[in-house]
Amino acid sequence: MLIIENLTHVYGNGTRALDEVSLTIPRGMYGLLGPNGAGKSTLMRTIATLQAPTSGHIRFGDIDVLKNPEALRETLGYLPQDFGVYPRVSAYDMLDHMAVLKGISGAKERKATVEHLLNQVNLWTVRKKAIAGFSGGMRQRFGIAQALIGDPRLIIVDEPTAGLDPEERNRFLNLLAEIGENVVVILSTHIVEDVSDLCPAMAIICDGRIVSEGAPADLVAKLKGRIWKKIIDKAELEAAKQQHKVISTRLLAGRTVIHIQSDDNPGDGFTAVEGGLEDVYFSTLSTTRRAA
Amino acid sequence: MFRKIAGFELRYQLKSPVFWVVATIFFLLTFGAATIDQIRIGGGGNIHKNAPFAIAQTHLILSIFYMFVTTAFVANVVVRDDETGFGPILRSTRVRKFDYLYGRFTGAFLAAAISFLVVPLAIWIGSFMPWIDPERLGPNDLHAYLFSYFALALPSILLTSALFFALATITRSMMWTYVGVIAFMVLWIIANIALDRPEYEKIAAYWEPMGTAAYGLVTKYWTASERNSVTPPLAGALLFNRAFVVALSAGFLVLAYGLFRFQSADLSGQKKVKTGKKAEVEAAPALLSGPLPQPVFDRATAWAQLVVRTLFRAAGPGPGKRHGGPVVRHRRRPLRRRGLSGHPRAAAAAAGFVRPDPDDHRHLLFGRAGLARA
Repeated sequence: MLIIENLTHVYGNGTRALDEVSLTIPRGMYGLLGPNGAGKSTLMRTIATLQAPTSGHIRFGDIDVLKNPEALRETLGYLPQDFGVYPRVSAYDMLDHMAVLKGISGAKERKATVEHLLNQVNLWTVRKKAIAGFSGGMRQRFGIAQALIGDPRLIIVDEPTAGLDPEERNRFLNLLAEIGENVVVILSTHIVEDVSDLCPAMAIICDGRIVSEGAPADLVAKLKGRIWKKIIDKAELEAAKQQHKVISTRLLAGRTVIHIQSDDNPGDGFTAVEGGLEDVYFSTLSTTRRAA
Repeated sequence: MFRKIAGFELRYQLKSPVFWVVATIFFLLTFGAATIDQIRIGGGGNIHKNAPFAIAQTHLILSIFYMFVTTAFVANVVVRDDETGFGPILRSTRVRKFDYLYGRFTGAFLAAAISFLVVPLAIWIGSFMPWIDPERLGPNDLHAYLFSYFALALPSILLTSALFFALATITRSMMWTYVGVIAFMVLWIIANIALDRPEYEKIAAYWEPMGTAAYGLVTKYWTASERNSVTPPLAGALLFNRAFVVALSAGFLVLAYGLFRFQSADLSGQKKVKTGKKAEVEAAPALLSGPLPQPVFDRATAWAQLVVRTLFRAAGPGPGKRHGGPVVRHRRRPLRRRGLSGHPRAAAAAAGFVRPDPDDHRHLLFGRAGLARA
């Protein structure tokens, strides 16, 4: 279990990236959903011991993460949001090197680890190719392979599906789903489906604060009967925004579909919709931003 | 772990183009000096082309210029992770600072040492070339080669490696490390000129870090026949000087260890917040009422493009920015996100943004502008 208490991070330029974040993250897949710039990566990097926060505590099991980062690193698998690789190094060699760094020192164990993981992430046939020439999806699969070395008990994957095509994204999510249920996996993402596909528990982060937390199904249930939809022309949008609490707008064949939140039937051509996690997400964000 | 990291580093460096370019250049330079009269390293004069004295001088002088090369190897160790963007993964592992830092230094230093082997090799091969007047050749003395490489060149290479490794650790910048190399070179030349008096020759022999003064003192009154046949024993001022250089190197390595931080200070939340740095919000300019201006393809455009590209390529990284290119930092994936397809580098080139290969030091050798890539 990972416990985060009152974590605050203020960067040197005054940006308050995290503001009193407290979270209790159980075993299993945990989704951290938030828009770009919400502080997800700062939180991920802080948990991964790459940067020191301004204040707060992080505990993983009986490890005090901020006081004893080395202990956490021994059981951590981290896939950063955006990583580069060395030129001219093959997937096999790089993974082998990572295995050394992660403490798999026996040659036999290392060979077994590397071969197993390359197979698991479906990179076996390209193992001798330079990673620098990999496609985005292949690179992410390499990234998850290195994160899995040494059976970590805490796995952090930061926006792993951003920029992947749908097929690669599915493949990647399947890989994540294979990770055992006995480890803590934190999946940070701005893609709602990533969370609804995978995570039994989640939190929404916005402007450095946790604004919602719980099981996706519960959060969806809370909105049941309160989401209404209407198809309008672009010109009517401003008026609708004045009248209703519009939580999302999107285009459909050139016209605008708006979702609004309302406890009662607003009439006026609105129809009730079965709310999804996306509505939860947008509703939470719009509530937060209205308050700000 | 230390050994495996050093091994990885060595293999990595041996695969890099800079290793082979350097080995080729130093081989040709030495080979030229050993076989033709147009290239001369050291005093030359009335001694054999492969005399112990000539071999020693070649090693001493080339190991001074070799500091440009050792820096390319060892500074790369320090800046590579930040430049490639692999750092975050690496720093989240349990690797210890000692293994990481010294393992990599060892690998890079070994690569530099191996590359320098072309110097004795070139003299030796040169001595068999048929066009050299046989009277200008003596017997090849293995001891002279070993002495020159291990006692004269290697400690100096270790020193420049350690010194510029420490400097790269402090500055985290390839450019500032090379500024340091040039400063060192200038100081060394000035010191040599200033100390070039009989009353200073002993002091210089003891403390001059590249070993030229020590060897010069030992061989000062040698006759031509001694120069052709004698290798001095590693004793007295020479031994002291070499031991001093090795100790100094160790000092720089300890310094680098003390200064190296895994956690990035820039990202720390414990730094004091600079006040008054909040960006002012500028009002957005008004939108154009008509369409955007049309492109024109004439001579003026061609000229403007030439100017822009020239300045763009010539603009090096400023202090504090990362070494390696006019675009401060582009990452490959975001480009893909923007919808540029194909090979990442091709896509980058198409967009006009090429992040140079962080290990690619060819621009250091040939100048940046001459390199068209992708």
